Amino acid sequence: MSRLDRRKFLKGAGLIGGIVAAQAAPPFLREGLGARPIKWGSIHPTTGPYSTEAFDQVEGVKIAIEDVNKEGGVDGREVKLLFRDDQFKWDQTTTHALDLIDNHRIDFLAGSMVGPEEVRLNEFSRKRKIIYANYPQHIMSTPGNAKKMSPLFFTANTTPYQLCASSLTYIAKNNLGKKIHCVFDDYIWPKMFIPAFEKLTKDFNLTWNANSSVSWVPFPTSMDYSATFPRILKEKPDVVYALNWGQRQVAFVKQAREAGLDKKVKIVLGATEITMPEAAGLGSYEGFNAAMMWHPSLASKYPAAKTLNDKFLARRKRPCSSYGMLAHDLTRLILDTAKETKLYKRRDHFKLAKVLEGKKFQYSKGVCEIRPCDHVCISEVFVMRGKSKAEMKDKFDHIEVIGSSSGEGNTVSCEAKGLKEPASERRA
Amino acid sequence: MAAGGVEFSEFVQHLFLGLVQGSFWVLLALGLSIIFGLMGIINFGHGAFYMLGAYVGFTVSDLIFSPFLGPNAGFIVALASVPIVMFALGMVFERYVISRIYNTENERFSGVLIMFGMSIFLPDFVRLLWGRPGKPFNIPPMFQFSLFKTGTLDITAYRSFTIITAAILVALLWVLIYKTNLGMMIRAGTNNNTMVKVLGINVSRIWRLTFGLGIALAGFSGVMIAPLFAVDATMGELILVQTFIVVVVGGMGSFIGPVIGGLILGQLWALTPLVGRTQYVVQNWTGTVIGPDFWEKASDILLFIVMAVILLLRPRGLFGQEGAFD
Amino acid sequence: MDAAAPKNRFTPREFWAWISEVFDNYGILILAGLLLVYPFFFSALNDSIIWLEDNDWEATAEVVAEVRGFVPSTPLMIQILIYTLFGVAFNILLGNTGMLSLGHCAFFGVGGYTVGIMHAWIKPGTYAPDWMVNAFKVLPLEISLITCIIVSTFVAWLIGTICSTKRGVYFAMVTLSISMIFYYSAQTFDDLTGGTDGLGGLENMRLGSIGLRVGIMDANITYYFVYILSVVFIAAIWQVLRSPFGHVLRAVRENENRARICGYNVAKVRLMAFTMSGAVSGVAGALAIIYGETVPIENIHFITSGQIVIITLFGGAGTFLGPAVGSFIYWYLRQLMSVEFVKYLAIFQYWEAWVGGIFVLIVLFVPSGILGTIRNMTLEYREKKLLNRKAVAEALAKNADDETAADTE
Repeated sequence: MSRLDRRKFLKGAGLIGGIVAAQAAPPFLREGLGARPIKWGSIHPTTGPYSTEAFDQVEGVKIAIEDVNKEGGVDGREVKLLFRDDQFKWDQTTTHALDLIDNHRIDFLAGSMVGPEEVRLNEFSRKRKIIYANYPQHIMSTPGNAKKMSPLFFTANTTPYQLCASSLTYIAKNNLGKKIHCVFDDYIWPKMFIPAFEKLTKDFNLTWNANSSVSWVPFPTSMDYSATFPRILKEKPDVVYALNWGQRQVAFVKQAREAGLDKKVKIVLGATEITMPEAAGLGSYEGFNAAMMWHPSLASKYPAAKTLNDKFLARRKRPCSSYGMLAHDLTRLILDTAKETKLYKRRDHFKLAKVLEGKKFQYSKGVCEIRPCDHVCISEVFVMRGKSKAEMKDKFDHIEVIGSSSGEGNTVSCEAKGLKEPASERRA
Repeated sequence: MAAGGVEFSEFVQHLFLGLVQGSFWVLLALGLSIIFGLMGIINFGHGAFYMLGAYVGFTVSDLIFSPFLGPNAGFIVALASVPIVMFALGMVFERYVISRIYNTENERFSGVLIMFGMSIFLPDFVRLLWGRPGKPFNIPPMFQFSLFKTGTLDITAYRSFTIITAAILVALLWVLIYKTNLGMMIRAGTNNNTMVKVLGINVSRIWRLTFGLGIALAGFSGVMIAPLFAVDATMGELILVQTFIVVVVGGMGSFIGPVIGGLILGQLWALTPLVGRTQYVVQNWTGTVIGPDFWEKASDILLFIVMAVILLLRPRGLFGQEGAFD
Repeated sequence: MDAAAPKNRFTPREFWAWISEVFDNYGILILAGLLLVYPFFFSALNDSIIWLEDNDWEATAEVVAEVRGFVPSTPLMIQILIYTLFGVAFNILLGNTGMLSLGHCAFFGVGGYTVGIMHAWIKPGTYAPDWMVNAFKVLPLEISLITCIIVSTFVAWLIGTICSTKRGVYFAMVTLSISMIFYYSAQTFDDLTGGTDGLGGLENMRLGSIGLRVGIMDANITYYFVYILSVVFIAAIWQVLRSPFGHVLRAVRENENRARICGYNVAKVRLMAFTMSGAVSGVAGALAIIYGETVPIENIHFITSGQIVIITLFGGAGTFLGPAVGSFIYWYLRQLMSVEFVKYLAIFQYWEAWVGGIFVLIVLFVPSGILGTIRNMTLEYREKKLLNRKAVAEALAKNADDETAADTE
């Protein structure tokens, strides 16, 4: 026993000595930036069908955090990104969120790509009282979800209503036609557009009816949209409004061109992203209009957009998608606000939320504002036109911005939702 | 001419669309059925190989041949070479992977599980090789015209081409299986493997060829469907369940089963939305009129309902061999 | 005994045989014991990091945090436990009755949706009728769990009556197709289920009898809640599989006709196994929902069925604790690849390809899974030892007989 003790003692002493030495070795961590870093815990599905966009998000967050650190960090503290891949598996979202909040003691929760992920992280924000920076979706904006929304939920994204409003404004302003027919995928996201259509088509005096002007396409297995085309062509609408995403939108565009639908009616896509024209081929979006949250060609209009896009091109070898931009802008907004107000600790989150409510900010697009009552980000939504093959400069240059609309008129008002007080005062 | 409020031309359009969809299902289901009939393996990786076919087609046409020969010739080269590449790939896969499980315990389960593993492996492997975003693969210019103008939706050239190609392919397969020596061996092997072995025929070679044939059919459907649908790493997951339904309805272990099953279900899928546009008013139990949108949504679920009914009433499928699954 | 015995005691073969034997006999107890103290172990590690961070030992904290990255966290262990329960339930069919079901996502999902819908909608101002809302001040978890067991048992029985007469791969296809009907239903009735976005806003995940708040609020409490339920159900399954009924299941797996000739109603046995498996899978699904406090539609999708097949086969379908080992390896491997390995090698971001490839290799070269292979490797040896023991016992008995014979003489 005595011998072992001596050896163990020596080993232990060596270990402790090593640790002390390691402690002393990297001095750069103790210099300049203050004590404990601020941890930004971010969860993205960089696996599965939306991994391209998820990697864009991660890059956007990285760029934002690097910039903040370059400008001196938040209150002299370094911001550290803890990024987790939740593997497109929502049990893993919970696992990572719990691990980040409990064990890594993150100061801000961020991330999400698709609906279930947002719903999960929103619950975390609501029950564990942590600010949640939601990057792409915004299903919490619907009136039915208003009570489920966490008071600490923030997003820079547009709501279905805003997307719909911008497209319909464009249709009405440019007199594209009176009669609208919709092609919706049969799941919950397109269903959120129905209330918007019911209200806005009346406002703009367009011919539309929820029962007879919507073609529902089975989701997710049926990718053949052409089964709806005979009905569309028989109804003879002026504008076809289609809502689909990812490879389904690519399939829709290809089939519409193949059937000659784009020659006979004007096609407006409810939402699109730069990865989709890329997957559909050169010049495939010619003649199509689409609503979009952001596009890298806005770099010519906003200098901040240009720097962001240049950094993206250098790192990812492809232009920044709106996912990357949304992630970047929201991260910058929250960190910059925390820097100004020095409210970054977990216990100050409700105070920080109060500051963020009603805050106007401008990064990669025009001035945006977070509305206090439901945290909808009132911002520009752009309308795009697909370029023809001859107009394209490189293989990413599919789309040209031809208009935008913004303002509170693009949203469901707080009164209509029955919400009065700011969300941060509304405790569940 | 109009019957029940639906114009004849509209009916023809839907018939045509159903034929296109049906012919893809026939090709995929035949590949599945041939492999199952002989080897007893349900190919859960069928969708993954179909996806791989589309990617190989994209590479051959858009990356290798189109820059030199133009898009038309590139497409034709892709159409011709993808089955060959996939056939070789299938044979290699059978030789080095599948053949290891023969004569082990749980032979059939292991086969299913290997193919299941491939359906997980291949999508990410494709992302690794070709990158994460989908790939552009479009209809070549020579097929971008309409054969018949019907006033509303035209009968387009590419879709007609797919129907004709599928029909020719099915005919060739029929000849191969029913009129050649190899086909005779395949049929004999499907019936009684041991007996074929006893007769001194190299069974493993036939199995290899058959597996290659099934994979080639999957890859060929992939490259044919790619200009109409999207080329994406996840495209195989979605088609797999539909192919299963076709096979269950048509019946396994027979040649005619998947063909008829695919065509019937294709028509069912395409003609269901038409029901909502007839003049006949259908009401549900509360008296609400069921609008056209219901029938559009129903076209996918109806496939499952048909399958359930078939399973309950005729478990071996419409043309299935009795006892094929025991 | 003679002097040769101690020499052989530590041959690797004997070591593995010993391990395997101990695992077979006491594995469930050992695992349960280890898992009982796991949160203490992990929080000790984690608290040390927090202490180091708070006391300005940043660099040391970084080093220890690197180590922690390779240790599965308590939340990950909750997930592993849930899928262990699911896998053990699934293994009643695959390992013991020889039925490959690819429709178990239906039970997993239905169990989850039952709990989720009860907690999301039984509150004022929703679809629920008043008497239901007024019955409890807060809906206790016990009520929803019992409802979940009833519902999933019923669903399993219903599907079982359709499917359990089918055989082999056909059974797999039919269960797969039927489970897809459940997926479509969940998607179609999205007012109730939240559709593809999942059902959120679940309130009052509270054990009514002791007023304990489980769910995302505290990982340790949730861990013990999941742990106790999993252990109870796994122990119940263990007992059932050891009972005569369990032996009948294995008889059906080995030779159905012989079992039938022996007088067992094979169809009924298969249906019972299917129902039992489905009911416990439903509980596992409910635990997954309680853990995450939202219901994602993915739980009812075919992918979940695929996962549980992989988990069971990783560990070994023939062994009782195979799914536990499989679940641990599957989730831990995914976590390691997507979080830790990817920091050093970018190719690990394609971890699905790795997991799929490893799965194919396991089916090819280790067809009986990890535990199963260890058991098979040592089986021969153990049989021999068993025979030796038998021989000794027989010799002793014979000796005794002789002695008694001598006495009587």
